[in-house]
Amino acid sequence: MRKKTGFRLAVVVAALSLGGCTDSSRAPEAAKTGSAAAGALASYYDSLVQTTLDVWEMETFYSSITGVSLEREQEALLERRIEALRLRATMARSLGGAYDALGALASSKAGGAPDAANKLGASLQAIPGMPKASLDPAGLFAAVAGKLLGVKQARDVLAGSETMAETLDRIRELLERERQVYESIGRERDVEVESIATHLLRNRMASPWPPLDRIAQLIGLPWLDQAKLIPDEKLTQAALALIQMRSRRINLLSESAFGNISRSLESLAAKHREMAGKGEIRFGDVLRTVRRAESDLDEIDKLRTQAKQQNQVTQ
Amino acid sequence: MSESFAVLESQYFTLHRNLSGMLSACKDETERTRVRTEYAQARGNYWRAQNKVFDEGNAEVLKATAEAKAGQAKMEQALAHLESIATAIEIVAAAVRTGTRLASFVPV
Repeated sequence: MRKKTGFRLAVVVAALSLGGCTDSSRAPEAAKTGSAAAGALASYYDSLVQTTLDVWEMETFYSSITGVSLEREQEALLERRIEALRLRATMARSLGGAYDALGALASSKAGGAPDAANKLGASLQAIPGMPKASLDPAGLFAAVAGKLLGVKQARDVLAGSETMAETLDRIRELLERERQVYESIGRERDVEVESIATHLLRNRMASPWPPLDRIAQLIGLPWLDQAKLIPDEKLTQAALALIQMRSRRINLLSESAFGNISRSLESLAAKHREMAGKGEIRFGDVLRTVRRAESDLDEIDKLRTQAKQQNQVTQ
Repeated sequence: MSESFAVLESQYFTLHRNLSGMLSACKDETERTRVRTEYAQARGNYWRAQNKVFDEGNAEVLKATAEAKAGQAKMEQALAHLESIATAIEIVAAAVRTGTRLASFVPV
């Protein structure tokens, strides 16, 4: 069933790309923008996978120090979550591959178009079905797949673009329906960080200096000899507050990336619908929204790297 | 946000933040075992909920959501007064039981 739906998508989007080829001035820009949006979506899912892996490690540690068992059955729930997120990342990458192929198709000569269309069809067959975990993939894509099958004419730009727009709508619908779980994963990371940091600092098992050192750097006032200066309650509390703030910062960036990705998919779908008309279409605004999402995701990576480097310096 | 999911998330996160404090307040190993068991159950409820879609239209879910919310409020009150650890454990256990019931309504 999954493969069949993927195949239907492949046939129809291949038809779209052939149609897009008749308007060579629009297809390359649509391809570039769509590819960037799909890439940002895949990176967003990758980030959620990394957050889940972080949560898994931290919960294993926290359970151990508090004497709570972490049964295999419960770990399997996290594995299932990761599998679901990875499947979605794969879906996003396949969408990006389709847009890349669309760009290649639009830039090819008329005689090479059929071959390019075939390659595009093959790449689209790789689009996986959604996992059973939270949504019925057949139900989500059934309406689009039906319309896709209705596209018989390769040069039917109107139908093709509308079909692509509906595909983007369905992906955005999936995003919005699962939004609460995505955001919850970030909050779960916050709770792990807060609980573990509190336990380690309160029991004087970890040094509060790494987060405090950053403040000293910011204001240009180095701490007095840290070997002699024993952090008091207020300094320990301040270190804890900084650790929590950094975790929340990752969350805020992740939520911002989600918003920008969702908006870019919505705008991209609207552009596809505008392709049916004859007026000028500019993709710049969509691309700017995608770039903002990319910037958010880059910042998350930077914060994660900073935390690791800080820890290495401390060690 | 699904109210049912929010309740299960809140229940687990509240226990997570207070686990160390509750364990320290326990008088004996029996009490500590109870606390750990309820925590693991709440964690499982939350993780299962992440892998499912809630049907907010289900009347039973709505009823259980209201019950779980009430339990959550009691739990937070009890956690604010840890001097009565035995009472707190009973209230937490009742709230987690409701959460387990709520999670069971959601199809796998």
